[in-house]
Amino acid sequence: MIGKKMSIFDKLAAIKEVRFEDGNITLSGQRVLIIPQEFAFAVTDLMVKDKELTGTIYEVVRNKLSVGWAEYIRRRYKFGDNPRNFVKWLIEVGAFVGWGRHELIKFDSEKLEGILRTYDAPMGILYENKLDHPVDHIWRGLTSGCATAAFQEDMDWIEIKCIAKGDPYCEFLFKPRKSLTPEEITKYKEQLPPL
Amino acid sequence: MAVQRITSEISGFDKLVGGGFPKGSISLISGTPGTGKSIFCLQVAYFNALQGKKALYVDFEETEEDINGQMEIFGWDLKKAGKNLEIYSDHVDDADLLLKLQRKIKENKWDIIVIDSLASLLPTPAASNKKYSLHELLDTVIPVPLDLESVGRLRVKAILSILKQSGATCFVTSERIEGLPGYSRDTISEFLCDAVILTYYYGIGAVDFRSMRIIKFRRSNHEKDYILFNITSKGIDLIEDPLKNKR
Repeated sequence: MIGKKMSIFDKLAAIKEVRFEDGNITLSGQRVLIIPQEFAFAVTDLMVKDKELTGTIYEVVRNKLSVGWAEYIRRRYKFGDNPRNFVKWLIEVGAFVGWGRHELIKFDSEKLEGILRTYDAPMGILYENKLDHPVDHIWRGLTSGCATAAFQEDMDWIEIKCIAKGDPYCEFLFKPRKSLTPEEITKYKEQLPPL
Repeated sequence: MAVQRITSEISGFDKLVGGGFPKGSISLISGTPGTGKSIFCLQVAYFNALQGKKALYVDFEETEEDINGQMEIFGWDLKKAGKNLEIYSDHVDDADLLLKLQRKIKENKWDIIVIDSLASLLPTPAASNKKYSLHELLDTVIPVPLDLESVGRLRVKAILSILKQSGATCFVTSERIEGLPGYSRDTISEFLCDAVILTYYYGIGAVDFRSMRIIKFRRSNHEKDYILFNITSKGIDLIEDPLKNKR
């Protein structure tokens, strides 16, 4: 740690917001598990084989896992007045927990719309150049849930570029669910929860 | 023979370092700005002065008035400490700084001496025209001309040597720049001091977190984990870790 900038992990460890104790790991006061990436691969593979599962799994990750966690984080760190900072911090944490490197390409704070680019996304890499559709649906579920908590607005994340279909990186369009146009709903039907 | 110690007067701290700071030791408190280094030292000096110890607080960056103002924030009344706590501020640019400091230290039989901070003694490129006293220059008369960094290190070494000779329990602070090597700005005091305590700050959202870590503490069995603390209206307050040894 000395001689180089502290990573977010170093910083969280220094303030005990990440702890490794006997049989128990906590991140920001919540218990977490380290599991092999194969677990996420297996779930992604289910969606690759049965595309109809995609919207449902996305929605489950978003609502049952991510929104609650992010809402807890928002309150714990009093991010209430600063959703933009919250999103930036979540993106940093997203990289720290292994979901690739992220870059916010575009963000309209009025419309709450933007584009997040992800390099080296683990699911995308697994299927690199092998498919004709995107695969980062677990990540989409996590980020849309976090954004929903951050902006206090139902958000959706749609993968518009993916390493799995030959793009050099993955890219996600995010916007409030209510702002999705009929064209977008039709075009990205497979990624969205069933009506 | 049991080691004689000076207590920190920071609730809960002494038990983490075997009972306090060994008498005559020098401790380096180092961290990035805003991590509580000066408050830590001022708290130790002030509350020990209230207990009857003689403390000298040397500050090269702030005036006595500034320090007094800082103390008032925490409700620490300099008058209550009386003659037991002397605040001495001086300009780093003073060519006779070392001699003056040496004289000041010899003026009294101090129990505690704080130097805040060593980092301000280091020459910067902007201060390259700074004059050094003959006393300092003589120390550097070696065949190879010294760069500013080396002169700064010699200066730090000289100050630590003066402190050691004083017999007082000493505290020196150093402002660390994240990403640069070493535990201190001068990268030498961590080797010369008996104890090294690093302080950290990380703000997430609207919540500030501070912690310290004892890197070394000679003659003591010390806590190895990060120690969380708050800076409250009363000064440094260690946070009891609810999960410690509970699982």
